[in-house]
Amino acid sequence: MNKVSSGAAVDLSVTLGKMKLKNPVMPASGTFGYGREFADFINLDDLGAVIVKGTTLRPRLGSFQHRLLEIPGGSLCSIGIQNVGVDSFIADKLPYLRQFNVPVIVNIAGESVEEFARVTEILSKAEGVAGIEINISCPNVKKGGMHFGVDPDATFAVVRAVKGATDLTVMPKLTPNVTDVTVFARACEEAGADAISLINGLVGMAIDVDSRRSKLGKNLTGGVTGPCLKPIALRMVWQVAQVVGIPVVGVGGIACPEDALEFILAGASAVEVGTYNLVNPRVMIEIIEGIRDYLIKKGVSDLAAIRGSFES
Amino acid sequence: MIREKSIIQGNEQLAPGFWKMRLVAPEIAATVKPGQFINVKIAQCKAPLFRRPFTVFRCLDLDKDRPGIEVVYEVVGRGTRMMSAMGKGDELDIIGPLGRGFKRRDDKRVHILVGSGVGLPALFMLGEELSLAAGRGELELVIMLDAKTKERLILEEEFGSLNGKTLVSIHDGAYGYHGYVTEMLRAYIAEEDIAADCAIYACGPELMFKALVPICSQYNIPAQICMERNMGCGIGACLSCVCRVDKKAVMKHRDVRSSHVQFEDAGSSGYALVCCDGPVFNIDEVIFDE
Ligand SMILES: Cc1cc2nc3c(=O)[nH]c(=O)nc-3n(C[C@H](O)[C@H](O)[C@H](O)COP(=O)(O)OP(=O)(O)OC[C@H]3O[C@@H](n4cnc5c(N)ncnc54)[C@H](O)[C@@H]3O)c2cc1C
Ligand SMILES: Cc1cc2nc3c(=O)[nH]c(=O)nc-3n(C[C@H](O)[C@H](O)[C@H](O)COP(=O)(O)O)c2cc1C
Ligand code: FES
Repeated sequence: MNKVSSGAAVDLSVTLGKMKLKNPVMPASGTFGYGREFADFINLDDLGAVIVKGTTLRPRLGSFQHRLLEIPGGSLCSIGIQNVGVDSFIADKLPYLRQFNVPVIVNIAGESVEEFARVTEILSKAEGVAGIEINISCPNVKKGGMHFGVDPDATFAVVRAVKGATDLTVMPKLTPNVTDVTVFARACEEAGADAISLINGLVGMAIDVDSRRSKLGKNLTGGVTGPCLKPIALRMVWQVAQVVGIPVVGVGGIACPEDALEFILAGASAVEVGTYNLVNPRVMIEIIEGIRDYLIKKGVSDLAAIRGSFES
Repeated sequence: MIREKSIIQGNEQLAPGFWKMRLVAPEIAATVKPGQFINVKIAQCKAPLFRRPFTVFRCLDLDKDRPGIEVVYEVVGRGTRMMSAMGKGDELDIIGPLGRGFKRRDDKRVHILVGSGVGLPALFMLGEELSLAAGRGELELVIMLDAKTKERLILEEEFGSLNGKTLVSIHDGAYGYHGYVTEMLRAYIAEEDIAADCAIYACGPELMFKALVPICSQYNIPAQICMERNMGCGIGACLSCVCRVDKKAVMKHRDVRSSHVQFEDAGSSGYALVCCDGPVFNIDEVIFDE
């Protein structure tokens, strides 16, 4: 390890596919809007990348109302990928992001392999998109609504199709709602993914005992997100980092620098911060500063030197 | 939007379960408008996790001319219980002012505030504004305060000090009008024959809004209501606070392009964000039973 003296510059940069990030911290899709919503609190240029709301070919209204419930240490939420659609994203949201010197990653969703490929093609022609994150936690209409992300063949097919439709960096995002997440990570790598992010929300539910109905109204179930998700996310990131050669991006419950460092020690190249952005709009900046302070304290000049250094 | 580390100046109990907190918040106090809210991180902990939204009850000058704000809140769960245990000198992390507040209907003569329970604080800043205008003889202010029981009636003195007529309804008849505020309102509008020249501003449970709907449509009275939804962010980023809205009414009342409202492809409705497009909506915009 390269030793540095206190106060010296440390290298936090990370490479994901063709993208060079100045630091390893970015927002998780759906918790940061289109970036502009946070402009009163942070400078987007300070982030490693910006990942925007899940985007589909056509606009989507998403889940029913009563979408969010606080649970101990987290949320149970069902937004259903409400979004303005890819055309409106390019026309109305992307121009704002172009003024910053930060890679923009678009999280995409679809109901068929063709839809994923089509959205990717459209985004690839737009100026100012650096990467595609594939949300495979979506129902596959052709397979009776079974989620792409719980079927290794469908996962492979989507990643392969998206790769075939673009030269941009492609990063599938794995769901934790599977028995062995490494099977899916391998399928992504074989299909040509440049990086892998994980995890999305873990499906859960809550019942109001008075009305005997779901606390999420007609949505019935939702994704568990936030700090309570972290141990599961960390375990899965650790498992995946051991079996793939491409960079892994850790997501799930990150709320402070120590949380982010745990993921990096477990093998993650970078991290996404989700739910906690909603609580503390400056948390990603605090995490970047905290990672830098940690490296200085440990006398390490380069983030890469500690990656995966968890001793099992 | 401003984030302030706000120091608590006072926190007093108004009635069993109801509290009033006074905060030093110069920047928010300088810009907040009636019906807007703040989003409060009660303690730097992971449970409770999310910020809690509270309407600004009023702005006031604290000692040494420092501008501050007050919120009036009911203890209903873990977060508000923690708030009630805080005291002078403690710090709160607040973001505000948020949302779109009330719009005064200057084309109407009689302005009726209809508030129930812990919805009452959301109407007070508007009441203060209307009270000034009423003092100048520009309009008439009628204030209807509602509660389940007399013990749960809050802010009677504060609203009573405004230039207006104050009426109270208590559901069990222990005091004032015996019954719901919406019944009292209907009777009042008929007796005073003001249907053609009044506007309603309401805050309370959704059931109260539902009871307002037939009154407003029967007499063609414009009403603005202050909605509640669980909120993740309060700043339009998470899309968790949606409320079903009617396309025609929304198109009539606002510039959709500068809003967060999204409509169904071919349908007649859509979703608005309570934190940005609201919390105040025109009553005809909201579809209550999805
Ligand atoms: C725009 C707006 C303005 C409000 N103004 C006031 C006010 O001036 N005074 C007041 O007493 N209350 C007000 N409320 C309601 C207040 O936010 C809740 O009572 C409070 O969040 C409850 O927190 P808790 O931890 O005590 O309850 P818990 O039930 O433990 O909270 C659990 C979760 O549910 C949410 N929640 C619970 N009740 C409500 C509710 N009624 N509305 C929205 N979210 C809720 C909480 O924010 C939290 O995320 C307002 C709500 C909104 C949306
Ligand atoms: C309000 C909200 C909206 C989300 N929307 C999306 C989305 O559009 N696409 C997606 O892939 N993940 C979405 N997610 C999942 C997050 O990106 C993230 O994977 C998950 O919340 C776990 O991280 P966290 O614990 O840091 O929040 C959403 C999560 C939340 C809380
Ligand atoms: S609370 Fe997040 S969008 Fe309204």
